[in-house]
Amino acid sequence: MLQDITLGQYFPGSTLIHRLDPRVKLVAAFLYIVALFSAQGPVAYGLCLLWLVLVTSVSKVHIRLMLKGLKPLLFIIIFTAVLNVFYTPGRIIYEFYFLHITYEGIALAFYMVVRIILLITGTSLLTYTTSPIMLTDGIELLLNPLKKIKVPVHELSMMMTIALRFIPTLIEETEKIMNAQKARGADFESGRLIRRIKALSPVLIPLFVSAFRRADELAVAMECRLYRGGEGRTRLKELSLTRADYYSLAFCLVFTALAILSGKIF
Amino acid sequence: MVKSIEVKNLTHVYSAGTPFETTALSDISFSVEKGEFVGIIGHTGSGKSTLIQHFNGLKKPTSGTVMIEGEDVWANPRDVKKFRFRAGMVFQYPEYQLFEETVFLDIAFGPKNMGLKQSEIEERVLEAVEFVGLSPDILEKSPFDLSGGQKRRAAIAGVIAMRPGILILDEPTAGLDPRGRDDILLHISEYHKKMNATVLLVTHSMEDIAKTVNRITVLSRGKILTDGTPKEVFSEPELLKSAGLSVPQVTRVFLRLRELGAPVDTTVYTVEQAVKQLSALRGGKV
Ligand SMILES: Nc1ncnc2c1ncn2[C@@H]1O[C@H](COP(=O)(O)OP(=O)(O)OP(=O)(O)O)[C@@H](O)[C@H]1O
Ligand SMILES: [Mg+2]
Repeated sequence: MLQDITLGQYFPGSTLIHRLDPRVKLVAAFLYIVALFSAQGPVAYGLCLLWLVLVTSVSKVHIRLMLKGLKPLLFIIIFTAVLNVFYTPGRIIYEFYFLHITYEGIALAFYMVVRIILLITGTSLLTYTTSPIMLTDGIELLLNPLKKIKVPVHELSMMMTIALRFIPTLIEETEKIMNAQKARGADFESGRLIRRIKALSPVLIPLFVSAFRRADELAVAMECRLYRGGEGRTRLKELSLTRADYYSLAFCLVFTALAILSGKIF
Repeated sequence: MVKSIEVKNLTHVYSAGTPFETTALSDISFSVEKGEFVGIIGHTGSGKSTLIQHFNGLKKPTSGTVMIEGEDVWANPRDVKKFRFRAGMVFQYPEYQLFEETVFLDIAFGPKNMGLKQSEIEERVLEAVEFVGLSPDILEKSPFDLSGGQKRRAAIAGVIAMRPGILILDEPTAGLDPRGRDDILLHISEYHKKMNATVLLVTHSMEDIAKTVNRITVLSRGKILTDGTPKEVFSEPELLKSAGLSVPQVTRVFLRLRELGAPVDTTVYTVEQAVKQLSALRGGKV
């Protein structure tokens, strides 16, 4: 169950996609989302799909892994589809008492589902191929101009780095505690909703206690190394844009422009 | 007689079909008689924790069978829960699982899940507290106000209160001082004797194991490397070394003494035995 959570997981590799500058990948992800949300008609969606397939095949991320990320969201996807099928007004194809299935509904549901799937798989590709540290470094550098208007960019990105860093640790910890309580006969799988929620306290309480303890230890460790925020800090790895980065950016811009224009033309 | 634990051709693979696939256990067969006190040792990552979590149905074998007291754990997957009470498991650093408002309630969590009557629960909590050597005064305290060693004992009591016929402990002495370590081991031995329970003790510490168990199983890279009485296992220091382990420190001293030509018996693995031998060497004077 918990192993299904692939969010924020990084799978190391050395492909072109893995080596791209995180800023470029972030901008690319942003462009991809823009393209996806302004997409109208099959050609635009086809272009987005083509884009995703190209990047995925270059990154060598396994297709099974991409689909696994969708599993926890299956319910939302189905829910969206059902809602759209039944509640879109238009040409009725099938009627059953108060339920109407319309031609427009089916089309809309189809596009919505495609959009969600493309959105999730596309953006998870970003975290699959970029280590959390690179990701937050990229975000910090991209947001740097905001420092001028007193946004604590460094602190925000540090918080994000730490949060991302601790996701797998906390998942592991949750599993350990769950197993320990299961060994004492705790039951998380049966009973009604209220009982199941109550059954979580033997897990949540130790989990919070340990999260606070970890936070405390981390704070002390950082203090001991005289951490004092972003002012004047240098990096171990300075990011610099290479030719591959510029080409990739150009490639993404072209795709986005095509996806937006195709909706207008066709 | 029915064996407490019987494992046949057990294989366990983690994250099968991903880049992270690891075979933690490969084709293990192993059995434990009722009332045995078995030490399981092995290097980090050798599969000890994975193995013991099969005994109460927390892990499902990738292939092979696990029988507890003559019953196949996974014969009926919906019935797995009952094995949690038969094979009580104390995890590594069990103090991190305490959650109730009072120590009493926390120890009572297991018995309550067994569906016992309130009077029975109280009796068992008191008994368990005694088994781990805690004073009953702390029962009304919050578990978060106890010292580290007391927390550890309270957590162990939480498992003992289920009166499991098989008690499994994953490194119960990790991170304790020598006195605390000896004390906990002593109380575990007491449970073993008084309840005629089968006990499995997972540890890294040769000293812990030499003092308490009557059988040692050595795991290495997901396989059983050797299995026998402490005497048999410690007589093969080279084999242990190949698994990243070593014989107890006193034994090493005696092996070296032998090398230097002293007429000593090298089947020594506790300080008490060492003292006896050395005093014999000096003609009976201590
Ligand atoms: N939840 C898991 N997911 C994937 N692999 C795991 C998981 N738990 C353990 N492993 C792997 O299985 C192997 C055996 O691990 P296990 O925890 O059983 O070792 P261990 O002997 O208990 O080690 P230690 O002495 O450090 O506790 C290791 O290679 C480990 O990396
Ligand atoms: Mg372990």
